[in-house]
Amino acid sequence: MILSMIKYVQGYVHVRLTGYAPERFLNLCGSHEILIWNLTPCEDGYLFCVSVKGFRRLKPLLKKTRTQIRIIRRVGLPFATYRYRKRKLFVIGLILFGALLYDLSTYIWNIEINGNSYLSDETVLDFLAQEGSTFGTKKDSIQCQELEEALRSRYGEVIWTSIKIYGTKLTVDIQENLLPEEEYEKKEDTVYDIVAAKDGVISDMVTRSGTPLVAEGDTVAAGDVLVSGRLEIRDDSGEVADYLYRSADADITARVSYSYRDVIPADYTEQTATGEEATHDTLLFGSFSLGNPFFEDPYEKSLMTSDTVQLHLADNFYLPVWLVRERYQELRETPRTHTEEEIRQIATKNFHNYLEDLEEKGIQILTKNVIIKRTGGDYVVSGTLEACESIVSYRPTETGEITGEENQDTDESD
Amino acid sequence: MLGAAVLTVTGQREALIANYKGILEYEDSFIRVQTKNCRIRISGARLAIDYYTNDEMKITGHIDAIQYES
Repeated sequence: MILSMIKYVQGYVHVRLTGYAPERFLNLCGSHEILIWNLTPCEDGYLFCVSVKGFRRLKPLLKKTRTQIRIIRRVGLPFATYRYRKRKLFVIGLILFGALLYDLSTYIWNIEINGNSYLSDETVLDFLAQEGSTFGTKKDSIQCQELEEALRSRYGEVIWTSIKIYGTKLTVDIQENLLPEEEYEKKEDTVYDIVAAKDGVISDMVTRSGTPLVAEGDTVAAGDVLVSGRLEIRDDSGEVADYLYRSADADITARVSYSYRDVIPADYTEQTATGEEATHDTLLFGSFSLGNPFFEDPYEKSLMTSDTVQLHLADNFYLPVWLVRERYQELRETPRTHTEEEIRQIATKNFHNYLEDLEEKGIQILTKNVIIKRTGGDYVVSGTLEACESIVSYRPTETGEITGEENQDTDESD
Repeated sequence: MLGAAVLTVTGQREALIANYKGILEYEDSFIRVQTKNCRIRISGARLAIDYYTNDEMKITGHIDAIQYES
């Protein structure tokens, strides 16, 4: 392999030898130490390979043995460079291409993020951008170990991370703490009361810690303290000796009423697509945009939808180029009036959506009472709902010290 | 034996001749080589000389016989 490469770099020729005494010529070559290889006989002589240097020394031997030599094929670098001597720019381009490819391979072109579930890919990419290790960064300037430490200290939920560079790809492996901290653990420093989030009548109450101030069946207003985080410690005479503070924790549900109101205008304009449409594409590079400058909306009334796509090379490597496609759909407007039946359908649909929204929030609907009235040109849907929902909300407990006098009083009485 | 030819034959396909003096005849079917004491005739088919230098020659092809002619 190495031998054949050396032969290629030095250059060699395939030749045909004919004449009076070819065997003598071959022996002379041997004694003059001219290397000949791939020697094969042919009908009127021999075919063999000889190096360029050796070929130049053959002339006196040919004369002596009265043989002729003919070059059949030239192989090697010296001939290739001669053949392409008029294509210097091509060679320069080839070298430049190689150099550019080598240079570009020293940058990060692709980022892969694995194992993240709380942190989004975007968050991690933003973090990398802030640390100066995003797309197009030189690989030498990235300190993987320091990045790992920075990532762990920035995001508490990351318990293990590994950042590696393979080729032009940066791989971020993350292991997250999948057990989130419990809510009460977060607010350990301050003590909280449970207060009512809404007006209502308490229907169910389970207190786990704290002093309950209300009971089932009580009517409460928004802001009322339901469970206090302050525990009173009384002495033998029944007077308050001290307070103990501990966050209140309870499940409290209450019957809450909602009022519902929806206005549906009877007259409306119906917009229907005629099926005619036009599209207009624009390329955006930063603040520069490239599109058809003569394009304008061809319709009197139209619906314009615009899709913006950022061009990217790899999965995550986005170029600063956006393609904006605007679609104009022609619309026809016709004034119409809803019938009674249509109004009923729309009202029912809106009301159902409203109920679904409430149920999604975990609110249980108990009773509903809604009527439709026509006032002027509009239909008004109004009514009340009664629902069951958690009214727990937290507020820091007011901490009050027991006055010195009180303390002294109790001391004296002992 | 100083100057005697050394033949290294590998199977039926390769022969390496060291200490030879010169090529006498060379065709597709046989090669005759002069050595110090005798001539060696290698006959076969599709014989080719891979390379040869001043004192060594490598022959490849299908070798049928090696004869010493004195």
